[in-house]
Amino acid sequence: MTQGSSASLEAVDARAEYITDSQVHEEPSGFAGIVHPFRFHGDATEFFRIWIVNVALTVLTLGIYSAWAKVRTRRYFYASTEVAGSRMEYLARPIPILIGRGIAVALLIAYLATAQFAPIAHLFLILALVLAAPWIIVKALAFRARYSAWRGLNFRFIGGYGEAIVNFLLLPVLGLISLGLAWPWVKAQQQAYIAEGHRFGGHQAVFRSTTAEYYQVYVVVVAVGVALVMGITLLNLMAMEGGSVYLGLALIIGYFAYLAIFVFLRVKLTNLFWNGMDLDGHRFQCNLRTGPMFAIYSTNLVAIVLSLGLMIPWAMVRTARYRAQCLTLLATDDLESFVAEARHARSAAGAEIGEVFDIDVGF
Amino acid sequence: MHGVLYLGSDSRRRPVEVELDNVALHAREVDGTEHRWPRAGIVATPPLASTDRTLDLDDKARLTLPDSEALQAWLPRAGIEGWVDRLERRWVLVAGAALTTVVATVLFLTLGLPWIADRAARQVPAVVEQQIGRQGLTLIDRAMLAESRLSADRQAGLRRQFELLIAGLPREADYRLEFRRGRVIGANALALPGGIIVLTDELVELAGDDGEIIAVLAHEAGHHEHYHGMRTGLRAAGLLVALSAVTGDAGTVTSNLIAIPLTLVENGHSRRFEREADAFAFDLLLRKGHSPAAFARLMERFEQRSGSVPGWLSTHPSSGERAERAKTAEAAAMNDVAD
Repeated sequence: MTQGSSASLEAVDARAEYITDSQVHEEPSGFAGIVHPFRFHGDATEFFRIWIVNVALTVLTLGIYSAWAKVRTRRYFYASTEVAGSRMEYLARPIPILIGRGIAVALLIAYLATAQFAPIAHLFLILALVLAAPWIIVKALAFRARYSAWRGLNFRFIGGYGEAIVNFLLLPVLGLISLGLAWPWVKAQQQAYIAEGHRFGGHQAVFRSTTAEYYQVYVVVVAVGVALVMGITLLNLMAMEGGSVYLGLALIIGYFAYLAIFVFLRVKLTNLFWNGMDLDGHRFQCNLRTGPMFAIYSTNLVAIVLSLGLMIPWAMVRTARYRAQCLTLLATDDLESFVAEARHARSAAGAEIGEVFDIDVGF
Repeated sequence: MHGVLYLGSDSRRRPVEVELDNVALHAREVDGTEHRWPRAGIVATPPLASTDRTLDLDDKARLTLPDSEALQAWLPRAGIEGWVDRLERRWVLVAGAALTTVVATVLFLTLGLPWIADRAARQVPAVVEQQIGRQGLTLIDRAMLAESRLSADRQAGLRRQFELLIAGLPREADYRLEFRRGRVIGANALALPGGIIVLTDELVELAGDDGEIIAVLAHEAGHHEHYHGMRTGLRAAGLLVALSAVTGDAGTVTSNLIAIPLTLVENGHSRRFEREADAFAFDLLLRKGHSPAAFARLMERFEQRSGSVPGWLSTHPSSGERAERAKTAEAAAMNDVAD
């Protein structure tokens, strides 16, 4: 392991001298410091072996091994991610995750059973889940942060429950009441909450992305969405005259267009999140682009379907590699002055419930 | 051995030379600083492909170094994950694992799960099934259907014919015939769990004679007699639980694309149920002295009106196919009579 794996430069505004292998589209101007590209060292063939054994053992143990599978997968992806000469670490152990999963699966069975057989109880359960969503989000973030580490130091998430309730229950309602006009602002508040709840190395993160930037993103989404709906309606009308070919066409176009909008939104929000992250003056630059990401997702989709799922590990590695390629750390010093954060053990139940019910806190 | 030491109190990378002896681990930094940790207190992350091992030295300091036989011999045994890691390193075993998984999963999803769901469907208490059906009716009434415009006499007449049709069936007591104007769903008939059968005015108008209507009602009765409603519901729920359990951590891409194969599989099951209901209908019609050819005529009317969606995309076999089967059933019955 060499120390010289990142470009060490102290030039100001010297674009040509930044040696980085990510596709940087907006180089920071006037930045004085060290540019550390994230690198993903994982290999699809290697991960396939881990993945397929994960799946086989999970199936054979009727799901119990899934906790070990999750830890091994996460550890592999974390350990394959390197920045500034050091790899990320995933510290969680399987047994707490197994317990968390048990609780989550019990909840899932109750959810599905009541859906079929006791609709009123089902409605209460949905209500309970919606009200518990802020708690689940906080727990999931706290668990992931606590058990992620870099250079021997673990992260922390200290976002409060009260703020979580405001950001994830009250503000979305506001967003709906305003017929979507306030939604970009709500999203900005949510991402700010998540970013600023994180601590590392004795510092708390500050969030610098502006609400205006979120509005720019959603305006595009709405415009494209409207065009899409009009297009699909047109195709449906033509189907009434000309038969089911147009119906099939509408279906396929609709699906891919929906995927494209989904990818666009995800890409832009991820970029806004990382670009806004400020940790003791150190910044990040995230340059994900919709085109390549959409290409990756759709080819992944085709490959996975055609291979009956066997290409999933290849797809996962590919996606991770692209994401790492687009992420850069802009450090203002040698990164050696971080100190240890407090460490408390965390229960995995909240995080697992969040995963099972798809309460998304990804970034 | 070369490694990188992180003391845990700060974020400095400290490249070190590592030596292992019986009682301790020694690490010497580039500038000569020496560290020592007792062997007994050291815990290592389990081996994982080609990633470096990380040693937890004293609950604060961590040492990262490449795996090696010497290191493995020095560390305590790795437990479950150590065994799994050995499994992962041998391609033959990996291939075997892949094959086992594919076979087991396919068998479970195509045979095991439907079998379990079907058994369970027959155990559901009648009261529960009827409740589900009633709620289903309320839902579609609110969302799509309207009050029937058929005259009371017409409804009574059809009801009488229906009662004759279902007389003697195992689940005879459950049936409840409901007339509605279909509006969005057009000419259609639905069987809900618990025995409710919805017949739309548009279908009554489309049919050439009452024989065609009775044929459709026989088909719907087939759905109820074979518990198709509950079986479909339980199969769908079971599939969801199984897939969630196995792919729990596979991420958004996978969950987006579960929808496609899931729909195709469900449509496949659905088509089999439709064929089952068709076969039941032909048999019932013949027993009660009706003609399956009436069913064929109605299917042909459907096909003329709306064209057809490709078979594998549809929840029903194509109308042409069903008309053919009806005619075959009719011809077979004629042959039996002739013999």
